[in-house]
Amino acid sequence: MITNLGEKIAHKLAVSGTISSDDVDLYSYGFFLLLSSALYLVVVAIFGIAFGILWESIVFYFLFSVIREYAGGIHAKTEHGCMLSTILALLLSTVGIRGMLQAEHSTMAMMLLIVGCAVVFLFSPMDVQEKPLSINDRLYYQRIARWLATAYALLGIWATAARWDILYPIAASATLEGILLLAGTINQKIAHSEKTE
Amino acid sequence: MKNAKEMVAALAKQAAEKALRRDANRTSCSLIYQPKIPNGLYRFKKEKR
Repeated sequence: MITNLGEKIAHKLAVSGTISSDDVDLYSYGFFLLLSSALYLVVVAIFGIAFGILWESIVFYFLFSVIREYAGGIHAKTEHGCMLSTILALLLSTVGIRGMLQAEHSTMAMMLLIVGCAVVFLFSPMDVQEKPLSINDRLYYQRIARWLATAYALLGIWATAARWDILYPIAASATLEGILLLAGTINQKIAHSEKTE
Repeated sequence: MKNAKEMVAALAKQAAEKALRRDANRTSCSLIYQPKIPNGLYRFKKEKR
């Protein structure tokens, strides 16, 4: 759906002479990235408004996007699968933030945050078949992902001490990234062992 | 009218390039679906590490 829309925009730009016809695939991909991010931002904002935690949900989406782009993790095989799983993940995360906020589960949030950050620290970066990384890239992204995980953990500790509600979106973003990274690592190990058998 | 259309097209191109530059310098996209990357993406990659 979003891929088709991206392709249509890129074709229009090629017809108008704004981009070269050789670059249609490239710009289609660019528009896919752009439109998808915008769509999920709207989705997360709607969930945020519905649950009365608009700014927390937007902070969560921003923090999750940043760490996800460097640490990587599992990806859905199809675009429809992606839409469903992303919307479900965003919904569950928003519900989780709201639940922890209402119950003031700061200890639980801190535990989730530490576990999520530890997973990122240990297993990132995880590339995918569609976008393989060179050794240099792996080392570079690993360094950034580890810095981010450390920054999230420190920010979480500070938020707990200051009794600031930002703890919950940070915890949710680290937890979701930890789950996706762990799932991706397990998936890769299974695929690797099946290949070697 | 033509100028407005050209301006919108140029802005759209710039926005797509910004997204491509960002993606070329990241492990994967933040979304749960990662399409196969187009060949020209490495044009947007920063060389220095």
